[in-house]
Amino acid sequence: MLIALAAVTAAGFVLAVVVGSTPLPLGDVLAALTRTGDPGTETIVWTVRLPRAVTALLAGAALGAAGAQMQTLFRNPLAEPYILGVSSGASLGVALVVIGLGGVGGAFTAGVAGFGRIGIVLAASAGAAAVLLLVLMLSRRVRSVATLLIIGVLVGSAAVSLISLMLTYTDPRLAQQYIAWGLGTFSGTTWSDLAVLAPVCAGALAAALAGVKPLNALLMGENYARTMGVNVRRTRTATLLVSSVLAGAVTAYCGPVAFLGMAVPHMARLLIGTSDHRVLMPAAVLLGAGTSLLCCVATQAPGSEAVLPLNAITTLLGTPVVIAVLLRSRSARMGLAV
Amino acid sequence: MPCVLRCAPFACLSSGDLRSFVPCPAPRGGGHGVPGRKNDAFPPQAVASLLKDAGGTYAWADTKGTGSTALDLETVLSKAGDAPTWLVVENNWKSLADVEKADARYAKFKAFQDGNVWSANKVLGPGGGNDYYERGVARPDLILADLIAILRPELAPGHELTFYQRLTK
Repeated sequence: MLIALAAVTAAGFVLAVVVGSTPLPLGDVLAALTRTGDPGTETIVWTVRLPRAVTALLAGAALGAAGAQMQTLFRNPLAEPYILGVSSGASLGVALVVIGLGGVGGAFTAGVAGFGRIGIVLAASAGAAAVLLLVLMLSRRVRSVATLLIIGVLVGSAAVSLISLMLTYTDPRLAQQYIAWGLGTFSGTTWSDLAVLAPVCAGALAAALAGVKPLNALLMGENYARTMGVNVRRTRTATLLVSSVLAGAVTAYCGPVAFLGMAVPHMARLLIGTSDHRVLMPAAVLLGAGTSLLCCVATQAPGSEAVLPLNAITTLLGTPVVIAVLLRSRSARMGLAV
Repeated sequence: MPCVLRCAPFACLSSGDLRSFVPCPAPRGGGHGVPGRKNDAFPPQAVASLLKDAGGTYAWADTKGTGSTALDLETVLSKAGDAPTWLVVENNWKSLADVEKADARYAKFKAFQDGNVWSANKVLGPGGGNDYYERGVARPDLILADLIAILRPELAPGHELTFYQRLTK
Protein backbone atom coordinates (compact mmCIF):
# COMPACT_ATOMS: atom_id res chain seq x y z
CA MET A 1 0.00 0.00 0.00
CA LEU A 2 2.82 2.39 0.83
CA ILE A 3 4.47 1.45 -2.44
CA ALA A 4 1.26 2.23 -4.30
CA LEU A 5 1.11 5.61 -2.58
CA ALA A 6 4.72 6.32 -3.50
CA ALA A 7 3.95 5.48 -7.12
CA VAL A 8 0.94 7.82 -7.13
CA THR A 9 3.08 10.60 -5.67
CA ALA A 10 5.77 10.08 -8.28
CA ALA A 11 3.16 10.17 -11.03
CA GLY A 12 1.74 13.34 -9.52
CA PHE A 13 5.18 14.95 -9.56
CA VAL A 14 5.67 14.11 -13.20
CA LEU A 15 2.25 15.50 -14.01
CA ALA A 16 2.98 18.72 -12.14
CA VAL A 17 6.09 19.28 -14.23
CA VAL A 18 4.53 18.37 -17.55
CA VAL A 19 1.23 20.21 -17.17
CA GLY A 20 0.97 23.93 -16.59
CA SER A 21 -1.03 26.94 -17.61
CA THR A 22 1.14 27.32 -20.69
CA PRO A 23 0.68 24.33 -22.95
CA LEU A 24 4.08 22.84 -23.63
CA PRO A 25 4.49 19.69 -25.70
CA LEU A 26 5.89 16.72 -23.78
CA GLY A 27 8.93 16.52 -26.02
CA ASP A 28 9.80 20.14 -25.30
CA VAL A 29 9.52 19.55 -21.57
CA LEU A 30 11.81 16.53 -21.75
CA ALA A 31 14.30 18.48 -23.84
CA ALA A 32 14.20 21.30 -21.31
CA LEU A 33 14.85 18.87 -18.46
CA THR A 34 17.98 17.62 -20.17
CA ARG A 35 18.90 21.21 -21.03
CA THR A 36 18.96 20.49 -24.73
CA GLY A 37 15.88 22.40 -25.80
CA ASP A 38 14.66 25.89 -26.43
CA PRO A 39 16.01 28.30 -23.77
CA GLY A 40 12.62 29.88 -23.21
CA THR A 41 11.03 26.54 -22.41
CA GLU A 42 14.04 25.66 -20.29
CA THR A 43 13.52 28.81 -18.23
CA ILE A 44 9.88 27.97 -17.69
CA VAL A 45 10.51 24.37 -16.71
CA TRP A 46 13.51 25.00 -14.47
CA THR A 47 12.57 28.27 -12.79
CA VAL A 48 8.81 27.90 -12.56
CA ARG A 49 7.56 24.35 -12.88
CA LEU A 50 10.19 22.33 -11.09
CA PRO A 51 10.35 24.57 -8.00
CA ARG A 52 6.57 24.58 -7.93
CA ALA A 53 6.36 20.79 -8.08
CA VAL A 54 9.02 20.37 -5.38
CA THR A 55 7.27 22.91 -3.16
CA ALA A 56 3.95 21.15 -3.58
CA LEU A 57 5.59 17.83 -2.70
CA LEU A 58 7.26 19.20 0.43
CA ALA A 59 4.25 21.19 1.56
CA GLY A 60 1.86 18.25 1.16
CA ALA A 61 4.20 15.89 2.97
CA ALA A 62 4.78 18.38 5.79
CA LEU A 63 1.11 19.17 6.28
CA GLY A 64 0.11 15.50 6.14
CA ALA A 65 2.60 14.58 8.85
CA ALA A 66 1.78 17.61 11.00
CA GLY A 67 -1.94 16.90 10.69
CA ALA A 68 -1.51 13.30 11.79
CA GLN A 69 0.51 14.45 14.81
CA MET A 70 -2.05 17.05 15.84
CA GLN A 71 -4.96 14.68 15.50
CA THR A 72 -3.26 12.13 17.71
CA LEU A 73 -1.94 14.61 20.26
CA PHE A 74 -5.34 16.18 20.82
CA ARG A 75 -7.30 13.01 20.13
CA ASN A 76 -9.57 15.14 17.98
CA PRO A 77 -10.55 14.33 14.40
CA LEU A 78 -10.96 18.01 13.58
CA ALA A 79 -7.45 18.90 14.63
CA GLU A 80 -5.05 20.14 11.99
CA PRO A 81 -1.58 21.73 11.89
CA TYR A 82 -2.96 25.27 12.14
CA ILE A 83 -5.22 24.62 15.07
CA LEU A 84 -2.89 26.19 17.59
CA GLY A 85 -2.75 29.39 15.65
CA VAL A 86 0.50 28.85 13.73
CA SER A 87 -0.96 30.12 10.49
CA SER A 88 -2.75 32.95 12.30
CA GLY A 89 0.56 34.02 13.78
CA ALA A 90 2.24 33.87 10.40
CA SER A 91 -0.66 35.83 8.87
CA LEU A 92 -0.33 38.45 11.59
CA GLY A 93 3.36 38.81 10.84
CA VAL A 94 2.69 39.25 7.15
CA ALA A 95 -0.20 41.64 7.80
CA LEU A 96 2.03 43.81 9.97
CA VAL A 97 4.60 43.97 7.26
CA VAL A 98 2.26 44.40 4.29
CA ILE A 99 -0.42 46.59 5.77
CA GLY A 100 1.67 48.27 8.41
CA LEU A 101 0.18 49.98 11.36
CA GLY A 102 -2.40 51.68 9.18
CA GLY A 103 -3.00 55.33 8.50
CA VAL A 104 0.51 56.42 9.31
CA GLY A 105 1.28 57.08 5.67
CA GLY A 106 4.61 57.18 3.86
CA ALA A 107 6.89 54.48 5.18
CA PHE A 108 4.10 52.23 6.31
CA THR A 109 2.31 52.04 3.01
CA ALA A 110 5.13 50.08 1.49
CA GLY A 111 3.21 46.90 0.97
CA VAL A 112 4.67 43.72 -0.41
CA ALA A 113 6.85 45.51 -2.92
CA GLY A 114 8.56 47.53 -0.26
CA PHE A 115 9.82 44.58 1.71
CA GLY A 116 10.32 42.06 -1.01
CA ARG A 117 9.83 38.33 -0.81
CA ILE A 118 12.44 37.78 1.88
CA GLY A 119 10.64 40.25 4.11
CA ILE A 120 7.38 38.35 3.76
CA VAL A 121 8.99 35.00 4.49
CA LEU A 122 10.80 36.35 7.55
CA ALA A 123 7.67 38.06 8.84
CA ALA A 124 5.61 34.90 8.47
CA SER A 125 8.29 32.80 10.16
CA ALA A 126 8.59 35.30 13.00
CA GLY A 127 4.83 35.36 13.52
CA ALA A 128 4.60 31.58 13.52
CA ALA A 129 7.57 31.29 15.89
CA ALA A 130 6.03 33.82 18.27
CA VAL A 131 2.78 31.87 18.48
CA LEU A 132 4.68 28.62 18.88
CA LEU A 133 6.68 30.05 21.80
CA LEU A 134 3.52 31.28 23.44
CA VAL A 135 1.86 27.92 23.06
CA LEU A 136 4.92 26.02 24.33
CA MET A 137 5.12 28.26 27.39
CA LEU A 138 1.45 27.73 28.10
CA SER A 139 1.80 24.00 27.51
CA ARG A 140 4.13 23.73 30.50
CA ARG A 141 1.56 25.22 32.84
CA VAL A 142 -1.46 23.44 31.52
CA ARG A 143 -2.11 19.85 32.42
CA SER A 144 -4.63 18.69 29.92
CA VAL A 145 -4.29 18.83 26.15
CA ALA A 146 -7.91 19.82 25.80
CA THR A 147 -7.21 23.05 27.68
CA LEU A 148 -4.17 23.65 25.53
CA LEU A 149 -6.28 23.18 22.44
CA ILE A 150 -8.81 25.74 23.60
CA ILE A 151 -6.08 28.23 24.46
CA GLY A 152 -4.43 27.68 21.10
CA VAL A 153 -7.67 28.23 19.22
CA LEU A 154 -8.32 31.42 21.20
CA VAL A 155 -4.82 32.76 20.51
CA GLY A 156 -5.39 32.07 16.82
CA SER A 157 -8.71 33.92 16.92
CA ALA A 158 -7.13 36.89 18.63
CA ALA A 159 -4.50 37.11 15.92
CA VAL A 160 -7.17 36.93 13.22
CA SER A 161 -9.20 39.72 14.80
CA LEU A 162 -6.14 41.94 14.99
CA ILE A 163 -5.69 41.34 11.30
CA SER A 164 -9.32 42.23 10.61
CA LEU A 165 -8.81 45.47 12.47
CA MET A 166 -5.82 46.29 10.33
CA LEU A 167 -7.64 45.38 7.15
CA THR A 168 -10.49 47.75 7.96
CA TYR A 169 -8.32 50.83 8.18
CA THR A 170 -5.94 50.25 5.36
CA ASP A 171 -5.60 51.13 1.69
CA PRO A 172 -7.64 48.68 -0.41
CA ARG A 173 -4.64 47.89 -2.60
CA LEU A 174 -2.62 46.75 0.40
CA ALA A 175 -5.55 44.77 1.73
CA GLN A 176 -5.78 43.08 -1.63
CA GLN A 177 -2.10 42.19 -1.53
CA TYR A 178 -2.54 40.68 1.91
CA ILE A 179 -5.59 38.70 0.81
CA ALA A 180 -3.72 37.46 -2.26
CA TRP A 181 -1.01 36.14 0.09
CA GLY A 182 -3.67 34.47 2.21
CA LEU A 183 -4.97 32.47 -0.73
CA GLY A 184 -1.83 30.40 -0.73
CA THR A 185 0.37 29.44 -3.65
CA PHE A 186 3.04 26.93 -4.54
CA SER A 187 4.33 29.14 -7.32
CA GLY A 188 6.15 31.75 -5.30
CA THR A 189 9.24 29.76 -4.37
CA THR A 190 12.57 29.93 -6.13
CA TRP A 191 15.47 27.51 -5.82
CA SER A 192 17.11 29.69 -3.19
CA ASP A 193 13.91 29.51 -1.13
CA LEU A 194 13.91 25.76 -1.53
CA ALA A 195 17.49 25.63 -0.29
CA VAL A 196 16.04 26.61 3.08
CA LEU A 197 12.61 25.00 2.90
CA ALA A 198 13.76 21.56 1.79
CA PRO A 199 16.25 20.86 4.62
CA VAL A 200 13.87 22.28 7.24
CA CYS A 201 10.99 20.13 6.01
CA ALA A 202 13.18 17.06 5.58
CA GLY A 203 14.61 17.42 9.08
CA ALA A 204 11.23 17.93 10.69
CA LEU A 205 9.71 15.06 8.71
CA ALA A 206 12.52 12.79 9.86
CA ALA A 207 11.79 13.86 13.43
CA ALA A 208 8.09 13.17 12.92
CA LEU A 209 8.77 9.71 11.52
CA ALA A 210 11.16 8.96 14.37
CA GLY A 211 8.63 9.96 17.02
CA VAL A 212 5.89 7.51 16.10
CA LYS A 213 6.14 5.11 19.04
CA PRO A 214 5.09 7.54 21.79
CA LEU A 215 2.24 8.68 19.57
CA ASN A 216 0.93 5.13 19.38
CA ALA A 217 0.85 5.01 23.17
CA LEU A 218 -0.85 8.40 23.37
CA LEU A 219 -3.70 7.08 21.26
CA MET A 220 -5.00 5.20 24.27
CA GLY A 221 -4.91 8.20 26.53
CA GLU A 222 -2.27 9.98 28.55
CA ASN A 223 -2.56 7.86 31.68
CA TYR A 224 -2.14 4.67 29.69
CA ALA A 225 0.86 6.20 27.95
CA ARG A 226 2.40 7.05 31.31
CA THR A 227 2.04 3.47 32.47
CA MET A 228 3.83 2.41 29.30
CA GLY A 229 6.78 4.57 30.28
CA VAL A 230 6.20 7.42 27.89
CA ASN A 231 7.22 10.86 29.14
CA VAL A 232 3.98 12.59 28.22
CA ARG A 233 5.18 16.12 28.78
CA ARG A 234 8.29 15.64 26.69
CA THR A 235 6.34 13.95 23.91
CA ARG A 236 3.81 16.75 23.91
CA THR A 237 6.48 19.42 23.63
CA ALA A 238 8.40 17.55 20.95
CA THR A 239 5.27 16.88 18.89
CA LEU A 240 4.12 20.49 19.15
CA LEU A 241 7.56 21.70 18.13
CA VAL A 242 7.89 19.42 15.12
CA SER A 243 4.40 19.99 13.79
CA SER A 244 4.66 23.75 14.27
CA VAL A 245 7.98 23.86 12.45
CA LEU A 246 6.43 21.90 9.58
CA ALA A 247 3.31 24.05 9.44
CA GLY A 248 5.22 27.30 9.98
CA ALA A 249 7.78 26.58 7.27
CA VAL A 250 5.09 25.76 4.74
CA THR A 251 3.08 28.85 5.66
CA ALA A 252 6.12 31.11 5.45
CA TYR A 253 6.85 30.12 1.86
CA CYS A 254 3.42 29.21 0.52
CA GLY A 255 0.97 31.16 2.61
CA PRO A 256 -1.64 29.31 4.64
CA VAL A 257 -2.60 26.11 2.81
CA ALA A 258 -6.05 25.05 3.86
CA PHE A 259 -7.57 21.66 4.30
CA LEU A 260 -4.68 19.34 3.47
CA GLY A 261 -3.54 19.03 7.08
CA MET A 262 -6.96 17.94 8.23
CA ALA A 263 -8.08 15.71 5.39
CA VAL A 264 -4.92 13.79 4.57
CA PRO A 265 -4.57 11.89 7.88
CA HIS A 266 -8.21 10.80 7.64
CA MET A 267 -7.76 9.61 4.08
CA ALA A 268 -4.57 7.81 5.10
CA ARG A 269 -6.28 6.13 8.03
CA LEU A 270 -9.09 4.91 5.83
CA LEU A 271 -6.74 3.72 3.11
CA ILE A 272 -4.44 1.70 5.33
CA GLY A 273 -7.09 0.66 7.80
CA THR A 274 -5.07 1.16 10.95
CA SER A 275 -4.06 3.95 13.29
CA ASP A 276 -0.64 2.49 13.95
CA HIS A 277 1.63 5.48 13.46
CA ARG A 278 4.48 3.35 12.20
CA VAL A 279 2.42 2.89 9.04
CA LEU A 280 0.14 5.90 9.34
CA MET A 281 2.86 8.54 9.42
CA PRO A 282 4.63 7.47 6.21
CA ALA A 283 1.23 7.00 4.57
CA ALA A 284 0.17 10.51 5.59
CA VAL A 285 3.43 11.90 4.24
CA LEU A 286 3.09 10.16 0.88
CA LEU A 287 -0.62 10.79 0.51
CA GLY A 288 -0.16 14.42 1.48
CA ALA A 289 2.52 14.86 -1.15
CA GLY A 290 0.40 13.17 -3.82
CA THR A 291 -2.75 15.13 -3.02
CA SER A 292 -0.85 18.37 -2.92
CA LEU A 293 0.69 17.70 -6.33
CA LEU A 294 -2.72 16.98 -7.82
CA CYS A 295 -4.09 20.21 -6.36
CA CYS A 296 -1.07 22.02 -7.78
CA VAL A 297 -1.92 20.72 -11.26
CA ALA A 298 -5.54 21.75 -10.78
CA THR A 299 -4.61 25.33 -9.83
CA GLN A 300 -2.77 25.72 -13.10
CA ALA A 301 -6.11 25.34 -14.87
CA PRO A 302 -4.51 23.74 -17.87
CA GLY A 303 -6.08 25.17 -20.97
CA SER A 304 -6.62 28.64 -19.64
CA GLU A 305 -4.04 31.25 -18.81
CA ALA A 306 -5.38 32.11 -15.40
CA VAL A 307 -4.18 30.65 -12.14
CA LEU A 308 -6.73 29.58 -9.56
CA PRO A 309 -6.18 30.30 -5.85
CA LEU A 310 -4.71 27.30 -4.08
CA ASN A 311 -6.87 27.30 -0.98
CA ALA A 312 -10.04 27.32 -3.01
CA ILE A 313 -8.84 24.30 -4.97
CA THR A 314 -7.64 22.26 -2.00
CA THR A 315 -10.90 22.80 -0.19
CA LEU A 316 -13.25 22.41 -3.16
CA LEU A 317 -11.53 19.31 -4.48
CA GLY A 318 -10.90 17.80 -1.09
CA THR A 319 -14.26 18.21 0.59
CA PRO A 320 -16.36 16.00 -1.68
CA VAL A 321 -13.59 13.39 -1.83
CA VAL A 322 -13.35 13.11 1.94
CA ILE A 323 -17.12 13.03 2.36
CA ALA A 324 -17.42 10.33 -0.29
CA VAL A 325 -14.65 8.31 1.31
CA LEU A 326 -16.27 8.65 4.72
CA LEU A 327 -19.70 7.65 3.47
CA ARG A 328 -18.33 4.63 1.65
CA SER A 329 -16.20 3.28 4.43
CA ARG A 330 -17.86 0.97 6.87
CA SER A 331 -15.52 1.72 9.72
CA ALA A 332 -16.09 5.40 9.26
CA ARG A 333 -19.82 5.02 9.42
CA MET A 334 -19.42 3.50 12.82
CA GLY A 335 -17.52 6.56 13.99
CA LEU A 336 -14.05 7.78 13.23
CA ALA A 337 -11.44 6.03 15.29
CA VAL A 338 -8.60 8.40 15.88
CA MET B 1 -9.47 72.12 -25.11
CA PRO B 2 -5.91 71.31 -24.14
CA CYS B 3 -6.34 67.58 -24.63
CA VAL B 4 -7.34 67.88 -28.27
CA LEU B 5 -4.57 70.34 -29.11
CA ARG B 6 -1.92 68.20 -27.48
CA CYS B 7 -3.11 64.88 -28.78
CA ALA B 8 -3.18 65.99 -32.39
CA PRO B 9 0.58 66.03 -33.08
CA PHE B 10 0.91 62.54 -31.69
CA ALA B 11 -2.16 61.00 -33.26
CA CYS B 12 -0.39 60.48 -36.57
CA LEU B 13 2.00 58.03 -34.97
CA SER B 14 -0.58 55.39 -34.39
CA SER B 15 -0.92 54.63 -38.04
CA GLY B 16 0.05 51.06 -38.44
CA ASP B 17 3.74 51.03 -37.62
CA LEU B 18 3.55 48.78 -34.60
CA ARG B 19 7.20 48.03 -34.18
CA SER B 20 7.99 47.97 -30.50
CA PHE B 21 6.80 45.10 -28.45
CA VAL B 22 4.97 44.05 -25.48
CA PRO B 23 5.30 45.67 -22.14
CA CYS B 24 5.04 43.20 -19.31
CA PRO B 25 2.44 43.39 -16.62
CA ALA B 26 2.89 44.29 -12.99
CA PRO B 27 3.01 41.64 -10.28
CA ARG B 28 0.23 41.29 -7.77
CA GLY B 29 0.60 38.88 -4.88
CA GLY B 30 0.83 35.30 -6.05
CA GLY B 31 -0.44 35.97 -9.52
CA HIS B 32 0.78 38.54 -11.98
CA GLY B 33 -1.81 41.14 -12.71
CA VAL B 34 -2.33 42.10 -16.29
CA PRO B 35 -4.52 45.05 -17.11
CA GLY B 36 -7.24 43.89 -19.42
CA ARG B 37 -9.27 46.44 -21.11
CA LYS B 38 -9.67 48.34 -17.90
CA ASN B 39 -7.36 49.32 -15.10
CA ASP B 40 -8.27 50.45 -11.59
CA ALA B 41 -8.65 54.11 -12.38
CA PHE B 42 -8.89 54.21 -16.11
CA PRO B 43 -11.96 53.81 -18.25
CA PRO B 44 -12.23 50.64 -20.36
CA GLN B 45 -9.80 50.05 -23.22
CA ALA B 46 -7.57 52.85 -22.09
CA VAL B 47 -4.40 50.98 -21.29
CA ALA B 48 -4.13 48.86 -24.40
CA SER B 49 -5.26 51.78 -26.54
CA LEU B 50 -2.65 54.09 -25.08
CA LEU B 51 0.04 51.54 -25.80
CA LYS B 52 -1.21 51.00 -29.31
CA ASP B 53 -1.32 54.73 -29.94
CA ALA B 54 2.24 55.05 -28.72
CA GLY B 55 3.36 52.45 -31.19
CA GLY B 56 3.70 49.48 -28.91
CA THR B 57 1.98 46.16 -28.81
CA TYR B 58 0.74 44.29 -25.81
CA ALA B 59 0.49 40.53 -25.53
CA TRP B 60 -2.85 40.65 -23.79
CA ALA B 61 -4.32 43.40 -25.94
CA ASP B 62 -7.30 41.28 -26.88
CA THR B 63 -8.26 40.23 -23.36
CA LYS B 64 -11.87 40.87 -22.69
CA GLY B 65 -13.25 41.85 -19.37
CA THR B 66 -12.61 44.58 -16.89
CA GLY B 67 -9.95 44.83 -14.28
CA SER B 68 -6.70 42.94 -13.96
CA THR B 69 -6.24 39.22 -14.53
CA ALA B 70 -3.99 37.12 -12.36
CA LEU B 71 -1.66 35.07 -14.49
CA ASP B 72 0.89 32.46 -13.67
CA LEU B 73 4.53 33.43 -14.05
CA GLU B 74 5.07 30.78 -16.69
CA THR B 75 2.38 32.28 -18.91
CA VAL B 76 3.89 35.72 -18.54
CA LEU B 77 7.37 34.36 -19.25
CA SER B 78 6.30 32.49 -22.33
CA LYS B 79 4.24 35.31 -23.82
CA ALA B 80 6.18 38.35 -22.73
CA GLY B 81 9.58 37.13 -21.56
CA ASP B 82 11.29 38.52 -24.64
CA ALA B 83 9.56 41.86 -24.64
CA PRO B 84 12.09 44.69 -24.90
CA THR B 85 10.27 47.05 -22.57
CA TRP B 86 8.65 46.53 -19.22
CA LEU B 87 6.20 49.18 -18.03
CA VAL B 88 4.86 48.97 -14.54
CA VAL B 89 3.07 51.14 -12.00
CA GLU B 90 4.59 50.15 -8.70
CA ASN B 91 5.18 52.83 -6.07
CA ASN B 92 8.02 51.07 -4.35
CA TRP B 93 10.18 49.96 -7.22
CA LYS B 94 12.91 52.58 -7.40
CA SER B 95 15.68 50.41 -8.80
CA LEU B 96 16.27 47.07 -10.49
CA ALA B 97 17.32 45.67 -7.12
CA ASP B 98 13.79 46.32 -5.84
CA VAL B 99 12.38 44.36 -8.74
CA GLU B 100 14.63 41.44 -8.01
CA LYS B 101 13.76 41.62 -4.33
CA ALA B 102 10.12 41.04 -5.16
CA ASP B 103 10.86 37.85 -7.06
CA ALA B 104 14.30 36.68 -8.12
CA ARG B 105 12.84 35.27 -11.33
CA TYR B 106 12.02 38.70 -12.69
CA ALA B 107 15.70 38.84 -13.62
CA LYS B 108 14.91 36.34 -16.38
CA PHE B 109 12.95 38.89 -18.35
CA LYS B 110 14.85 40.34 -21.28
CA ALA B 111 13.63 43.83 -20.40
CA PHE B 112 15.20 43.46 -16.96
CA GLN B 113 18.49 42.24 -18.36
CA ASP B 114 18.62 45.14 -20.81
CA GLY B 115 17.79 47.62 -18.08
CA ASN B 116 14.62 48.68 -19.86
CA VAL B 117 12.21 48.66 -16.93
CA TRP B 118 10.12 51.78 -16.41
CA SER B 119 7.96 52.47 -13.40
CA ALA B 120 5.32 55.19 -13.25
CA ASN B 121 6.26 56.35 -9.79
CA LYS B 122 8.19 59.51 -10.55
CA VAL B 123 5.63 61.72 -8.84
CA LEU B 124 4.45 60.45 -5.48
CA GLY B 125 2.41 62.49 -3.03
CA PRO B 126 3.31 62.89 0.65
CA GLY B 127 0.81 60.21 1.68
CA GLY B 128 2.16 57.75 -0.83
CA GLY B 129 -0.42 58.45 -3.53
CA ASN B 130 0.69 58.11 -7.11
CA ASP B 131 0.08 61.07 -9.39
CA TYR B 132 -0.22 58.68 -12.33
CA TYR B 133 -3.68 57.78 -11.07
CA GLU B 134 -4.62 61.38 -10.31
CA ARG B 135 -3.27 63.72 -12.93
CA GLY B 136 -2.80 60.88 -15.36
CA VAL B 137 -6.49 60.03 -15.47
CA ALA B 138 -7.36 63.61 -16.36
CA ARG B 139 -4.44 64.06 -18.77
CA PRO B 140 -3.96 60.88 -20.78
CA ASP B 141 -2.04 62.95 -23.29
CA LEU B 142 0.77 63.23 -20.73
CA ILE B 143 0.85 59.46 -20.34
CA LEU B 144 0.78 59.02 -24.08
CA ALA B 145 3.68 61.44 -24.46
CA ASP B 146 5.65 59.48 -21.87
CA LEU B 147 4.90 56.19 -23.60
CA ILE B 148 6.01 57.54 -26.95
CA ALA B 149 9.24 58.84 -25.41
CA ILE B 150 9.87 55.40 -23.91
CA LEU B 151 8.84 53.19 -26.79
CA ARG B 152 9.90 55.40 -29.70
CA PRO B 153 12.57 57.75 -28.29
CA GLU B 154 13.63 58.97 -31.70
CA LEU B 155 10.25 60.67 -32.12
CA ALA B 156 10.41 62.70 -28.94
CA PRO B 157 13.99 63.76 -28.32
CA GLY B 158 14.48 65.81 -25.19
CA HIS B 159 11.06 65.00 -23.80
CA GLU B 160 10.95 65.19 -20.03
CA LEU B 161 9.06 62.25 -18.58
CA THR B 162 6.13 63.19 -16.41
CA PHE B 163 5.21 59.96 -14.68
CA TYR B 164 7.65 57.26 -15.71
CA GLN B 165 11.22 56.81 -14.67
CA ARG B 166 13.73 54.23 -15.77
CA LEU B 167 14.80 51.79 -13.10
CA THR B 168 18.53 51.40 -12.83
CA LYS B 169 20.74 49.24 -10.66
